[in-house]
Amino acid sequence: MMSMKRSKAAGGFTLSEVMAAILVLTVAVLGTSAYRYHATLDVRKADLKTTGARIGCLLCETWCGVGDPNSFNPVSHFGTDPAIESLTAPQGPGTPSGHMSLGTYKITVDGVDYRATLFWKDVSAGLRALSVIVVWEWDQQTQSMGSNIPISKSFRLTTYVTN
Amino acid sequence: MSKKKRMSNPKGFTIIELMIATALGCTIVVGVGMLLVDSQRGWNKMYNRTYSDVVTDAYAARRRFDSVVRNASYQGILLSDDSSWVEVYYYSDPNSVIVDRYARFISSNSQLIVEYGEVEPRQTLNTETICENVSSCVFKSAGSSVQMVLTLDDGSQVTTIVASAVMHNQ
Repeated sequence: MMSMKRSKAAGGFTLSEVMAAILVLTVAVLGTSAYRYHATLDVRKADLKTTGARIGCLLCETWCGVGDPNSFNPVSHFGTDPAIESLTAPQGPGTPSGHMSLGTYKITVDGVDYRATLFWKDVSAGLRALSVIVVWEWDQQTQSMGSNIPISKSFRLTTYVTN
Repeated sequence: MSKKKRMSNPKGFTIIELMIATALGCTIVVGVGMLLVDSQRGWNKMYNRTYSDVVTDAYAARRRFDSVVRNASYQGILLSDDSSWVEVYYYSDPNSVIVDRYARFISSNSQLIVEYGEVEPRQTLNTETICENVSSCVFKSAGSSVQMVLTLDDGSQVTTIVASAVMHNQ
């Protein structure tokens, strides 16, 4: 009976010790993986937002420099740098009521499609607002923002010019 | 006969138990390993997307383009036929009464360069390399605004940056 007892001085670990160590290690690995996954996802989202903001700024500033709001044609102006094409209205964000629409466009940068709608309005005598709504992760079938909600975002930029 | 019977209180494991345990262990190790490798790959991609040279260079190029063009006069702009360079004009200081300086953005030999100089007499004062690894750079103008579409490629990372700025000064 005495020989079956575990000696206090015996080397190695008990099963409980090994299981506790594995549990701690698993929690640490899973925590690190989750942290890295979310960091990567956030960087991806930030990259999309930054590029979307730059596209909105590009359209807004260029439109602002043209003067006459109806004479600006992004497709003929930019062509393939960056790749841009005209769309019909339901294929992109809608124009708010009371605004004049210039058009809806698809802009491709670094393999990602962004959709932008340009519209303008005379807000007061001598002051005109030029606005751009930029969206990405557009769902073709539902004609709305994509199902990947954490990534799908849209925002609106407005610049003011004198008319 | 009794020696051939397995003891009711055996010590150790049978070969079947060992094989099953080994298979399960291998599956878990391979799965966790793939998870870690994929995680590391995503992490490296994220790191390069944030801190790689092409990304920081593109950011610096956009900042410089914006600051120079916004400071320029809308009285004139010179754009090359092949859209590889653009020249804008500005005042050397706030007290200047004439546009006496120029800044020319040039894409050449995989570099984006900005050249500053005097208009009259024509004289180059300073040349600065903004970024390298330029695979394409196109300048355009529309009214009083100037656009730059810059693509940087260092072999492992490609980034495209678009910028537009309105020339504000008289």
